[in-house]
Amino acid sequence: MSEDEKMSPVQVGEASQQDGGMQELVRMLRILFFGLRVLIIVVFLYLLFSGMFRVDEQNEAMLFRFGSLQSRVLEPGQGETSILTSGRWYWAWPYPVDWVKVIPAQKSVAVTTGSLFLPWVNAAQPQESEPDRGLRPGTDGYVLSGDTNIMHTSWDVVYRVTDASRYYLNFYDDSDSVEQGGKASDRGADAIIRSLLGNAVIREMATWSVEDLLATTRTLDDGTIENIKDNVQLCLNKLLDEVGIGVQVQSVNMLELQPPSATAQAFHEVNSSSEKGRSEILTARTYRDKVILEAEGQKYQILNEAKSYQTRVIETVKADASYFETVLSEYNLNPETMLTALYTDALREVLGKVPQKYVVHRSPTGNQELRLQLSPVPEKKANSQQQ
Amino acid sequence: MLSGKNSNKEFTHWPVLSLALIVLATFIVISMTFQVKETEYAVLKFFGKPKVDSTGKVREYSPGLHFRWPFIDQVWRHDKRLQCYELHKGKYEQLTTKDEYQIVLSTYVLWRVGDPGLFLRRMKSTAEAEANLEAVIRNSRAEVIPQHNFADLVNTKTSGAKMKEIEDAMLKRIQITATEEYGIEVAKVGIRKLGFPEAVSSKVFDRMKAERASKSEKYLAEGKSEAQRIRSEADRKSNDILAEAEADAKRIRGQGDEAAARHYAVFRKNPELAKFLRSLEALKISLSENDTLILDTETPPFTLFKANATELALPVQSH
Repeated sequence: MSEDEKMSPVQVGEASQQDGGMQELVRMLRILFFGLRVLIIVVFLYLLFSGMFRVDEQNEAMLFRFGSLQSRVLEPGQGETSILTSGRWYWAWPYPVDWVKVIPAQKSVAVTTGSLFLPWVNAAQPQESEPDRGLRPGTDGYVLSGDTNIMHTSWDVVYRVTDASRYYLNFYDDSDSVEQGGKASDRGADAIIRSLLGNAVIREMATWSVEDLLATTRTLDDGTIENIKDNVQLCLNKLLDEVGIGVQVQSVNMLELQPPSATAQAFHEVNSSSEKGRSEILTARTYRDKVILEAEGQKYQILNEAKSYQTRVIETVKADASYFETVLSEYNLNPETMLTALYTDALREVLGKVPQKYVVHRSPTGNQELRLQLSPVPEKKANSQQQ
Repeated sequence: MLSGKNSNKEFTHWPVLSLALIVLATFIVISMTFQVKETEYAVLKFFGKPKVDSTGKVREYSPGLHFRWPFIDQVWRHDKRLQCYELHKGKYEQLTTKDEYQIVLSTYVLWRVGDPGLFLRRMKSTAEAEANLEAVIRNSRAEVIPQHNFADLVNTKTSGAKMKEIEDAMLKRIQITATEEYGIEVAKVGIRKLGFPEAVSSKVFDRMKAERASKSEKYLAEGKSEAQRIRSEADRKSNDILAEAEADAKRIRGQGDEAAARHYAVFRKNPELAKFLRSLEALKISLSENDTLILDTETPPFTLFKANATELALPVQSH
């Protein structure tokens, strides 16, 4: 007799209930294990594919394994590099085994020297200026020119990272700092470049007169023309080379340059006087151009009149000579007739031209008085007077 | 049959076992190792004391994965890259130059940890390092600036400005103390702001205003003077042009007269006839329509009037 057969009906019922529970448990565990397997495969696939990354065209990247920078061999003879070439796909182990640092190498970054300018000038709600008070060190930013004038100025520099590994490995970056918990804007590459730019501006402007600064150019004793912007950029490049930050300056720009409000009116008057002076000069130049052009015109008129006279005189004499030769040939044939003909022709022409002619009889005694009204009143006037 | 069934069951548990092993291995690796990044210094402290190498120097760990005893060894890290610190930001320190000028100056410094062992022994934090650095820099500034005249800082002559030399002198002093005392490497010190105390800046404004007024007068006078010069030069040039033109015209007329004279030679064939013809020509030209002509009866052809002399006294109207 089997054990089942020895059990009471109640026991048999309980045993069948336990078997059912176990089967349910086993079934649940099987589902759980299956789910776990799927999960492990999914996690494995995730780890496999999440390690794939692409370095964008405008970026450069470095791969660190357990914190150590990984180098890779370039083409034979070209050595090693730690920079992952942009525009390609790479694979890395998940963090914390591998991690990738991406540097925006092609991106232009602008940094401004705010501290050399009045803090409230560009604020949304500017404070009331106090023109007569002095400038407070630490609050009011300014620079000194070479001739000890105070000027407010603002500059910016646009740069691009050219050596990503040097830029990242040599200069503080708060995004992965361990201790400082700091602010990159106060300590990192931007802050360094801002400080170097401020340093370059102060150094350079301290050798320029305020006139040259306002004109932004100056002429040296040897005739060389310098530009303040170029000089600041040159100075900044030297400072950047000294610290080897791995960036290339693309442009340096002077955004603002203005005198303190206390002296603004005086500077304005200088500008005004300068303009007045220039205006006087301009008016004088206009006068000069007018006078000289008029003289040139008169010169041509005088010369042309002289040339005209020259031509006229020569041609007249030529004509007279020709006429004389003609008359002479006739004269030689019959002198008296020729002379009489010439004389009477001339007299006819003259008498025909003159409207008023008086022929008087010669007195036999020789004493004769003749009264004439010369320059008589014109006929029209005489008529109107009569009316 | 039973053993085959059991081995099949063990095989079905591999995911759990492998997961447990992975978790355990990860826990062991994490607790017994530490990573050192390329950008940081790391020093192991055993019960708070830095571990040293065989020479007694604090042991530095290169970038990568390193072993440590769990819970006993603590890792101290510090960024080893160059960082910027502007001293006493927003506040200025007043200094006096050799020629008694009162100036205010602010400097920035680029620094990094040079000797992590020394740094760790002397400093607790970056803030403490920067506080000590500030004192060192202040001392160097106080030593260097009074050795220079104000013109060494601000000068329109490029050769006269010595700001770089001043910065280098400060750096030299700072480097010695910072490296030896605190294990800090200072790469650069530079002037970030340069100015005057508030009271002095008001006086500078007065001087600037006076200079501007002078410049204003100068520009105006220069403008007027230049304008006057341009006008007088223009007048002179105009007169020169006209004088030259008159001279040239005279020459041209003379040349005309000279050329005409050459043609007069033909009149020598009969000077009397030439004179007569010229007289007739002159007579024709000299009388115009407004002239009044008075002749007597002896003048041909009016000799014809002699026969009737009493009637000849009346004027004859010409048509």
